[in-house]
Amino acid sequence: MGKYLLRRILQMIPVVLGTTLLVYALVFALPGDPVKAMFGDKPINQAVAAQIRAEYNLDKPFIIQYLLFLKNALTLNFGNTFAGQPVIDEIARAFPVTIKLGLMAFVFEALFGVVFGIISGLKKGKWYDAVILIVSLLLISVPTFVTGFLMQYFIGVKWHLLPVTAGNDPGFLDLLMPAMVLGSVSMAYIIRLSRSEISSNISEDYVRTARAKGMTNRSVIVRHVLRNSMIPVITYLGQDLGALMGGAMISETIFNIHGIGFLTYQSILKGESNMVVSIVTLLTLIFVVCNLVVDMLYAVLDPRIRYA
Amino acid sequence: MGIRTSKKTMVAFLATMAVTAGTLAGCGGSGSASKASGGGDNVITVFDSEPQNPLIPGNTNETGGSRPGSQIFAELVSFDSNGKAQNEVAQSITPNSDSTQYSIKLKPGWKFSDGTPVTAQSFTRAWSYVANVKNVQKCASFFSTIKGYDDLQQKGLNGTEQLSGLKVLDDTTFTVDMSKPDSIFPVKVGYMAFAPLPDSFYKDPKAFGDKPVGNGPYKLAEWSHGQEIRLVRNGYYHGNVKPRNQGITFRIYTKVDAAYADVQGGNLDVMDTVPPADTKSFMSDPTVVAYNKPGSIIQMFSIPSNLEHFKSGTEEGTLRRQAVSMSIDRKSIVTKVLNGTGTQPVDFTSPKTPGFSENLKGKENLVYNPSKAKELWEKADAISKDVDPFAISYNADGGNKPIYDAIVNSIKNTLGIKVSADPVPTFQEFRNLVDKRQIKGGFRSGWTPDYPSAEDYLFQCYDSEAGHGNGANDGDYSNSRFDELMTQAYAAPSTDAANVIYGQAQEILLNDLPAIPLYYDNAHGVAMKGVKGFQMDWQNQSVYSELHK
Amino acid sequence: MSDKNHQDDDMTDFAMNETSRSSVTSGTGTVLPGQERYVASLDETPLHEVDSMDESAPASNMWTDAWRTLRRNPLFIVAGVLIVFIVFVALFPGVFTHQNPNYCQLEHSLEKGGPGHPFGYDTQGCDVFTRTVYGTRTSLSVGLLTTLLVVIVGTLIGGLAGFFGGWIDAVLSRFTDIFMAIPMLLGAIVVLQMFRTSSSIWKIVLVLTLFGWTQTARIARSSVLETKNLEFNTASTALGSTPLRNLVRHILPNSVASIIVVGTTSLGSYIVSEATLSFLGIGLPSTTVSWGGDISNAQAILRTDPSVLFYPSAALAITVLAFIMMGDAVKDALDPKSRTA
Repeated sequence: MGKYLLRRILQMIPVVLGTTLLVYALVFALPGDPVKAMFGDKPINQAVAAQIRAEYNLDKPFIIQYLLFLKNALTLNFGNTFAGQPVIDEIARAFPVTIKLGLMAFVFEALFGVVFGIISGLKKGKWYDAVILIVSLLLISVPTFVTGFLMQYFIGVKWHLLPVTAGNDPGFLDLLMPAMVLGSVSMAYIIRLSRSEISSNISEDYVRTARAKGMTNRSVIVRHVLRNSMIPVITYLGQDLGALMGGAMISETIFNIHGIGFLTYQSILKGESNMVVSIVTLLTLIFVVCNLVVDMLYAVLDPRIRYA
Repeated sequence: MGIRTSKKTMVAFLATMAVTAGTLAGCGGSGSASKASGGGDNVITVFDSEPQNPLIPGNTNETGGSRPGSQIFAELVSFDSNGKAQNEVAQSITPNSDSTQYSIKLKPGWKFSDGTPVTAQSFTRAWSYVANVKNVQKCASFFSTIKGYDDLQQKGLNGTEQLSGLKVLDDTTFTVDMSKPDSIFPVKVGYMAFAPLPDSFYKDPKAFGDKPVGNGPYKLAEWSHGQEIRLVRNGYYHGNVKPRNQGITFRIYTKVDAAYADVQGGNLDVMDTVPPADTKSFMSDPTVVAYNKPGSIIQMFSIPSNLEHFKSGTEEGTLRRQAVSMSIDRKSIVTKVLNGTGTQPVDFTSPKTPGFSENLKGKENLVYNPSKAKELWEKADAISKDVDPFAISYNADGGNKPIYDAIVNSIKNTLGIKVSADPVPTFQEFRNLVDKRQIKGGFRSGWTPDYPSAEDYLFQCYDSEAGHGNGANDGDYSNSRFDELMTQAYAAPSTDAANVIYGQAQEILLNDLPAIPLYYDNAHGVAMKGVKGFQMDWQNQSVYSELHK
Repeated sequence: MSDKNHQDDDMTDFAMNETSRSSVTSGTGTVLPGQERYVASLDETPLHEVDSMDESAPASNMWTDAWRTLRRNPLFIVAGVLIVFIVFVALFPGVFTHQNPNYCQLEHSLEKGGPGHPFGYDTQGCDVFTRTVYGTRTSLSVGLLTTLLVVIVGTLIGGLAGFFGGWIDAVLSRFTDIFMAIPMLLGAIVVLQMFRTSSSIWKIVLVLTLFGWTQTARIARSSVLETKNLEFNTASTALGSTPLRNLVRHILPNSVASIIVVGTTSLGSYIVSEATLSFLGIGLPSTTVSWGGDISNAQAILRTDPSVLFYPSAALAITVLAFIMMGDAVKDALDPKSRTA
């Protein structure tokens, strides 16, 4: 196991390098010219534009730009945004909020997704199974921004149950509604996934055996059915955690949360390569770590899966 | 797959909702004047987006920065809410006979918020700094009519070189030599890039951009990036503006919809815009106080002057331009798509522009007239046939889609020809295509005035000197009679005399239609119930100093 | 699957024969009066050959078994009818409406429904019913093609990684990691600008696949990992089956259930993603009618005129629902373990 872990950690290096290179290339390939956009609809002062390009190394060939970025990144200097702010400061400002929001959404979707999924899976065909299924289908097929706007309008503006927007330094209550919106789609997927896993595992031979041995229904379900059904669910959650950290574009904008998602989006539109690559690098690390944890969990949950 | 896509969908969906580069406004504007006096013991929270540049006057060219910036700095003149210039720091601005030299006298006793005096040098050094290409200021071009500007555009400068046309006579007097007549100069100097800067600026411009020190009615207390910009009253200020509140806090929003919900929910006092989703209901929304009056921004689409079959100056081109213009049902677009937050245009400037006239010859070309449009198009077809399908490009990240879909439908239905809307994903790509003249069809253009003068709208967008990459004449329109009138106006003895000439110049544009005016953006916004003094100025911005509770 | 069960049955049969036989033999000597067991003579009940098969019955395999189960499943029938209907609408929209979905007049903007226009009009004054009907083709094609490609690519990469393990797994999994980290918006703008002039839906399918396969790949990988160590697989190897045959015959069919669930549920999200791309101006031109595009257009007037958003959303929801139900039915049929439920 230790050796496996070490190998996986070493494997992160090419992943991070590969991602930064690819993303840098993509930002470089973005059509347009970020410097021209800085002048808005107004006349472009070409001399000033040329200076700005030089300042941000935008006038250099792609590979030089990339290597310069890498070189500076090694000394933890990720450059400045076009607005003159250090990239690292902006990320440091946005990230804690995103982590808070992401974790809340994660707990929300994991808790309700798994609980409803289990209820649904164990009581397949009952009326509440049908209700849970229909609600989860609705969540999947209605776009998130619609759900978000409706919730904000009714819960926030009309009924004053929760804050309308999160604003600065948001607390638990401020983030509750955004987290629910953010987690809703994944919750629906988790419900479906747990439901189908449980209903297929429940008719497995080992369950029959355990029952025949006289185990109580409760411990059969907890020790055998649930444990086996959770493997794909955990894969799902593991990746989702990574994705949640990547920022919740929709929730963040609807509820005015200054997180990573919005930052990424704006930076892509503005062609801020330093910002985009820095964020993506950070996210890649998180993805990779999440995936590693998920793979480790497999081995714990299912002794048949072994890592050498 | 599921989540992955949905999350990525989110990434993509931002455009729907973001406060994006839709209308990148011109470089700031000065504080608005008001006759009212007194003050409250209250602080007003207002909407803003994160400034795209450090808060240095010469580098601030979008609304996120100009909203707070215009309150921190005061220039030689200020504009009242109708756009009329009044002396602010200036005692007098006196031109010579042909407007090639100005003598400027300052009022005594002006101080920056750090207590240092505002002198003639505070202006001349600041102007030279902005004009000097080494200092990479986005508003540099505004100084192009001052003598010595070209010398500051060369390579190898160290950034401290001064404009040779500026001469300091004493602490409160300086003269400005122009490289050519510029009768508009006394208005231009009210633009934010012409603000004076204290000596502390030059020591560390970067730090200054984070914590600017100005001479305006308010001073910066704190700027928490991405969250809020807090301004408090500047005790040293004694100009035209009489603030009726103790301070203004600019809340940074990433999306206007969130701000609107906050106004409704009692969380934000004032915003000077309304999200498209709420334009239909904000005037009758019982939870807010609404404002909606014709404003100073004009929205158009340009047609390149060398576009096949639309060439300007040719009979066929003019016929087709007029036909397209008359086939757009602006009234329906303004009422049904913009829900009344726009106004049908009658010229190429705006109702807020001094000298504006509703009765220019040729304004009927901007009125929906389906039968005439069809007739003109057929006439053009008689000259030459086989016109390629007409396409109009716009940037898709600024919420322009419904408007351009409606325009295209209107032209299509009226003329019975093939027309398409051609969205470009990002503003930066759009501007690049425009700048490189790669768009083969119409393209979105809009103009936010920098200072209240017809010159700002007309010279920059249609003079041949501003074409081919030297200005904002992105359609490369060129008409010698028009150019001649522009030159005449610059040499006019007064701004009023100049405005008469600008009227004549516009009548040429109304016939040639280098761009098709679509509508004037209304100044529209909402305030929370209980907030008093909510009105908007000539720049479609809230008059912050008047707000009180 | 079938092999596995077959094998299990053989084993149990064999074991039972053994026990019953031994008890019979060991018991004969101690039978008390009145406790004799009646044993029918061979003439009355002829002895059948052990493991005999009815050779006249049609050959049975996983798919025919599945089909037999499906036919009796009401879920399948409902989903099937819906899908047939949706496909019909997609193929022949003209049967349902005679109007041009792109003929829009602002004067009708947001008018309520009336005769001939049951769903009313949108902001642009387009007939919502006509657009919903015509949108079927685009949205369905994007959804189906993307799902198909994503499942193929994802299963292939994930399956290979999970099955072979070792360095192949390492390389493929890390490759997946890299793709997962790229923001789709970024990739989409770059890829789609190469096809700016094209109005074909393939460019959308390509982008959605390019940035969508990773999820399926990971699900497939974990499913294969799980199945790989199951007993029937070991048994099959013991019987001389090659690893590749194991993968194709045993492991993939056993992993197919979870892939189908993910595939059918994500179909809807692809349709919505297409909307997003169109809205950003990198998708299909606005002359190509699609539900997604109409939904994103109607989002701005959600609070004032919700009905404009309702119809394309409802069409999307029904389609997604039909495919999800179909997926559930097919999964149940392919997975004998859950048949009893």
